[in-house]
Amino acid sequence: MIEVSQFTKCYDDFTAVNSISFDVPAGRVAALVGPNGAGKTTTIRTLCGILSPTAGDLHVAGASLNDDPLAVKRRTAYVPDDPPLFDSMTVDDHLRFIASAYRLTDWEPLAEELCGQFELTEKRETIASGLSRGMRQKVAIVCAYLRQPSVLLLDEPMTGLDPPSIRRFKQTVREQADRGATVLVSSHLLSLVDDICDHLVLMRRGEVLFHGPLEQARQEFGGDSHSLEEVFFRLTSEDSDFEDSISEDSMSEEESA
Amino acid sequence: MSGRPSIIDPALTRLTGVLLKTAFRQLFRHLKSPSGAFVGLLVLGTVGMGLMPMIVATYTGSLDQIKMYSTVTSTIPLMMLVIVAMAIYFDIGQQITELRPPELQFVLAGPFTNHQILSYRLMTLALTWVVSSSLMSIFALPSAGSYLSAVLAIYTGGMTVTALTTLHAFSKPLLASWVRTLIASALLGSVALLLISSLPLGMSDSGFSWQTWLLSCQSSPIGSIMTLPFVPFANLMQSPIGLSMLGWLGVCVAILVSAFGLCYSINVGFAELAVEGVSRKQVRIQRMRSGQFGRIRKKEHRSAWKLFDFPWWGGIGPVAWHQVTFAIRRNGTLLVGLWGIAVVAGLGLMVFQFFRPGTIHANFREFAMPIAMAASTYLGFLLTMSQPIGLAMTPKSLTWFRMLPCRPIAIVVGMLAGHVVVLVSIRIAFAVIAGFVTTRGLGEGAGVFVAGVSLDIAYGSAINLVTAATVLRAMPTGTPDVLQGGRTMLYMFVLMLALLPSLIVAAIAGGVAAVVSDKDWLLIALAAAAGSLLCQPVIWWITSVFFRDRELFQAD
Repeated sequence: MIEVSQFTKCYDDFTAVNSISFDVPAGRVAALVGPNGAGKTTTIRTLCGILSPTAGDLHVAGASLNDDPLAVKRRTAYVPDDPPLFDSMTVDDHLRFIASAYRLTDWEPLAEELCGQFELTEKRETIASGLSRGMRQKVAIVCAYLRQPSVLLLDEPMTGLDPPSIRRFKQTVREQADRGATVLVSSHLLSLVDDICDHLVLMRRGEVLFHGPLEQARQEFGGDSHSLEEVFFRLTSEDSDFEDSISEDSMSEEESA
Repeated sequence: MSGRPSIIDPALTRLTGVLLKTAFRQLFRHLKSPSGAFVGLLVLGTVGMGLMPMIVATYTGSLDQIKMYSTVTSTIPLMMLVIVAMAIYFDIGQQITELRPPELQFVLAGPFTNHQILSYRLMTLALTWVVSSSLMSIFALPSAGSYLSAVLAIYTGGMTVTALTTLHAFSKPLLASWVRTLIASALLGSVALLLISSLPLGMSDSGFSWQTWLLSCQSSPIGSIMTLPFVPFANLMQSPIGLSMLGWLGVCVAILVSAFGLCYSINVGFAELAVEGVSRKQVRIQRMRSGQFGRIRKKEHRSAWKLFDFPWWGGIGPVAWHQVTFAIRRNGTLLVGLWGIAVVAGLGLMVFQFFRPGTIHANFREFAMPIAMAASTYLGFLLTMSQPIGLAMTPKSLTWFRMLPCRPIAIVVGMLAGHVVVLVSIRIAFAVIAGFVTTRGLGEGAGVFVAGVSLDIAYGSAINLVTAATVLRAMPTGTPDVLQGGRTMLYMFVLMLALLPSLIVAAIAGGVAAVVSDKDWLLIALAAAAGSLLCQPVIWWITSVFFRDRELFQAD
């Protein structure tokens, strides 16, 4: 699971994320959504150990990012929005590197299966520079799945994927959650969130506006349509009434806790 | 209004002026900041230090008696012929069609004719050449009639070479591909034949003299004919200010105008060539930023070769495996080729030495290994400096390593492997050549080789330290600006500073060994290597702290 408490991230004098708290239980697929500049990518990059938090406690898969960052890295996999593959290396080189770096044993059958699922079997000996955008994305996803991580962090994971691959990806995300992994997906595609997520973390300007079950968000902020789009626009609009009501809700939750 | 449009469009002339003004404004804005002023001073200092010895040598006449220098300047026509032949063979002229991506939208898509776009491109080149020829002329001062003659000769000569290569590039829509290839190959082949067939002219009783070879090659009957079009440029350079200079300038300008006239007359598809050129340039910029300088691969490339697994070694193993695989995949062909050339060259030199025993100088044979190591250091450093190997990778690529479940020091040590494997491979190639001709023993040669390898490790560590601690890179990312060259020089300067501690300790250790062992080569080399290696753990530790703490990304 993911537990974030009072997390702040500053870049020099700019505060990208301001004292946010949220949690995502194990086996859930959570959507991290928000407008541009909300701090989603910063949050994800901190959770996987690429960035260091300025303040706050972050627990990922039972390990504290502050106390045991190596344990967090062992249990977390991250797929960035634009996967930086090594252009001179083959797809198979990438898989072998992941297997050796994360000390995976008997990984070949799973690699074979995943490559088959994502239509990469024929491309295993292809140099990454010759892969299309979608293929590169698939390689990054397979590298992440190969480790069978406890927490899976996906940043705009469907960029460049074709419709069949999108469908397959959605299925595999669900499968990852079913085996007990916590999945956090950052995306602007609300339809994707609607399809695969059961939990919502909504951010704006470095603050969390809502976190909890998606169904609860629909009931409370979805209006008559109960749509996620309505939730998004109501919560992220500049209307202070909603902000006030959220603040009050948050305070009452904290008080009751 | 109708009639034939002018070959120069006022809008494009204005654009050239505005771009120039913007570049200067940007330069001055950078120079106003402390870091910009520092870079500026560094550039000025470096250029000044490079040029000053030549200016001093010219006025003191200290280069007058040096045969090698006078030979280089006397063979200008031959050198121009070689440059033109090679430039045409490698189709360098197509670079004139490589406009920058914004120019695709504003110039190519604008209401301009092919001639007007060509003029715009030539104006930019002509302005660039003014600066280049002014600087290059300083090196020609000792043999030039005057500084002005040198500037005019280099300017008109350089532009003529550009015109001839452009002419070849513009023939693309007019001639079949095989005809163009045939012309280029025939030209380069005939130049190569001329040079090779003239080799015996350089032989004398005192051995082979490359100065005599080049001068004889140029003055041979065929050489005289082939270099004839370029002789006026050499004569212009050697003319003092006066009527003779004006006369030769007139001839050079006539050649230049004729060559460009031909370019305009066959310029029928500049826009089409330029569209292709823009995309080629974009790909090349992207490749250069990722440190690849070879030809662009158009087809999907596969490789079944696999490197054996490395042990875990606290996390060093997988990282080192990755770096070695990465480096070999990038440079494998080059390194294997280099080894092949080394074996052939070494065997050739050995056979040459067998049949003509005195040809290779005794001093060269004695110091063959140190010379080979120095040469391999130069080539290796040049080749690896701009490659995204080790911590010099892009921040995005480094995320792979930032997420690895091992300590930063293990990652830093493992990241050395890529640099070391490339540098040592180059070193082996040079050592093979030296091994065939050296008169020193195997032990001494091995000692020098080990010292070279320790220098490679120190160099790789220095690159990792600089790239982990600063944003400096040999090939920066982002939009290129006028200070790009300055930043690269700054990177090299900082890299030198990072290498300094290892060099100082190695020099001290080598010095002590020299005193103790009465200048025993083997001991000096091994002591220097040990001294350099002793510093490395400290450098790795500092690098690991920077790697752990430095932000790879700023806020999105």
